[in-house]
Amino acid sequence: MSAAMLDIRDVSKVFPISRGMFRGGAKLTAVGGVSLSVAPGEVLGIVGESGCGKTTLSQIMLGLLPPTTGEVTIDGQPLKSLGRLDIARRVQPIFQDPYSSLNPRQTIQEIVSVPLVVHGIGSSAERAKQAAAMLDLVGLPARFLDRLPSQLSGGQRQRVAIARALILKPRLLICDEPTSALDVSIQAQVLNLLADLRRELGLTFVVISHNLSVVEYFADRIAVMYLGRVVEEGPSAAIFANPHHPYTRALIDSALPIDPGGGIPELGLGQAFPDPINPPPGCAFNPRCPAVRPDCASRMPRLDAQGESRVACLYPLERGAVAAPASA
Amino acid sequence: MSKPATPAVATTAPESRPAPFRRLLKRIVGNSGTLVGGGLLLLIVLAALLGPVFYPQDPFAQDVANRIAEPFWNGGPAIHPLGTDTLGRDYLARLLYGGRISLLIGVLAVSMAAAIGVTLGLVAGYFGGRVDLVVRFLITTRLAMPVVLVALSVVATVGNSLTIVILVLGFLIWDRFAVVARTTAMQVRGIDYVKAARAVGSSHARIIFKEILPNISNGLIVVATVELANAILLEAALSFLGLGVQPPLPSWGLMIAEAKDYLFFSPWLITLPGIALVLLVLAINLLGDGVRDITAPSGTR
Ligand SMILES: Nc1ncnc2c1ncn2[C@@H]1O[C@H](COP(=O)(O)OP(=O)(O)O)[C@@H](O)[C@H]1O
Ligand SMILES: [Mg+2]
Repeated sequence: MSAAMLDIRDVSKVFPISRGMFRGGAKLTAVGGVSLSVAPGEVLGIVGESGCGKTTLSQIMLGLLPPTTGEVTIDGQPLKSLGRLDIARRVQPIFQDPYSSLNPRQTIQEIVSVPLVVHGIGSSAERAKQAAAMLDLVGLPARFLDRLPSQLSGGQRQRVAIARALILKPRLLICDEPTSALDVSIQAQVLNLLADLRRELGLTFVVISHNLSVVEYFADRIAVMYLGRVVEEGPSAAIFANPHHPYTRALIDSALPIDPGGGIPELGLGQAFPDPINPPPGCAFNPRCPAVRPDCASRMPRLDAQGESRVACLYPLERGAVAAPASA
Repeated sequence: MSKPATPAVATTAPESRPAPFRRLLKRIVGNSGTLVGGGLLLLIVLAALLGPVFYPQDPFAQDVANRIAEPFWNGGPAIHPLGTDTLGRDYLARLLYGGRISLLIGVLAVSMAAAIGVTLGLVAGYFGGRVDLVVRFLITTRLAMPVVLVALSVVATVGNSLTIVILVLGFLIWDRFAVVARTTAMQVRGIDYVKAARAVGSSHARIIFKEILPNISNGLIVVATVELANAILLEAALSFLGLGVQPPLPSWGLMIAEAKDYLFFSPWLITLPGIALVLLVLAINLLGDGVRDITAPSGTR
């Protein structure tokens, strides 16, 4: 096995929550003990419901948020030991909402070439040339260079965001819900663009989504998160063909062919997502689990190897097992 | 589809969407307060800057034979269209020169206040936490100081020169800039483009001044107009109390002070600088309101 492009070891993030003057502070564990590894050229998909800690994890991977515990390593270098410019040259983000990820006061050229300015690369003429080349790479005409974001559509804006992320030639892209804010008709185009770029530039990706079908599209491996923890992780094909965790199963059953306008799929699990400040005892999924057994509420499952995957379930599903008593 | 489009339909065709600049121009023209305020302010600024060129009378020269000459509408001498003051100095020349002083003090004091307040507010709003705590303490301290009283005591102890008046005003009116910059920076700092700038490796200073500041400038421009009017009135008040601009330099506040003993027999001495002051402050306020309306997100309010 080659050295990992991105390796996160036992990373957790705890936010202190103030609940008014007299109740004292509480602690919210947004990410709890996550270990993941992405090989060069690989695409890791991270899925899970809204609020399960995906964005927090992505910010930790980008060095934007320091983890409470654990370590992130990029290309063999601990993130902690790298300066902000070094991190920026290795990993870049693509955010969910291209309406808020582009500064409305800057022209497209400024937006795309700011990374070069910050890194002191090239003269202003060279930067302009590079910005035009980047626009071409993401399929936008050079005449967009002197437009403002408000003159572009959502899909075009997301392409600009991708151009900005690629101009420093990073090897790793972290995409947090890259298509959730886009029109259904545009989502496939943006995903195709990312897939093309991956092939042309040999990029490594982490793609985050609350919808499995977005990730299924081009992830090699998939990690399923629930309440800040990875509950199942493995090769994409294995996850889809043979999900071991009842939660993964529910996600697969609820996945829609394409995300209808960024909506969150109904999981058919009845209860709502638990309160992350007071997680349920034992397996965090037990109050919603269709295959729950008595000791699920007292014992915490570990992430253990199961076939080609790793799974955190006391009673993992076997091949072909039917988990949910569907609408019975 | 095959039917020819009616004119009403044609005007709503997508290609008739105006470019942002045209839209802005339309909003400005559609806002009469801005036009009146802006026009009036432009007039006053031009008069103050160019007046002494076109009206070359010396505002300091004393025409002792013509002390307290009546203005032209009372049949005064033609060489002094707006009459003279108690020392026989040409009143129109003093008004024009005084306008320069008022505007100079206002603009410089507000620039200084903006530099202090915006920097403090941006830093507090962006970093939050302890930095914010310190800045909030500074703002509260500043708000607890009565402006006129502090200005009076400083000028009374240090003495009053133009520079000192500007410095004192600048140090006393930065609080609104800080409050507005702080709250708006807090709103902007969590937006994704700030995170994207961080991820690209931008320094905090670059993010504060290149990413955040341009996005909160609308509110700050409105504050600047309010404070400009405020500074000009404060200067007038200080000068009126004898602690602002030093004679023989004219300022509108000082002219009002010098004329107050002649209120009953030579009322124009006090009304002319008074009207000038009111018009200037009115113009600035109209312009400020207009700018606020024009730059409001919807452009309607
Ligand atoms: N800065 C923060 N302070 C406190 N709680 C936070 C903060 N950021 C995220 N959270 C909480 O952490 C949990 C995970 O959030 P997030 O990472 O945004 O999830 P996701 O992206 O999967 O929707 C949520 O319960 C959220 O309320
Ligand atoms: Mg999220």
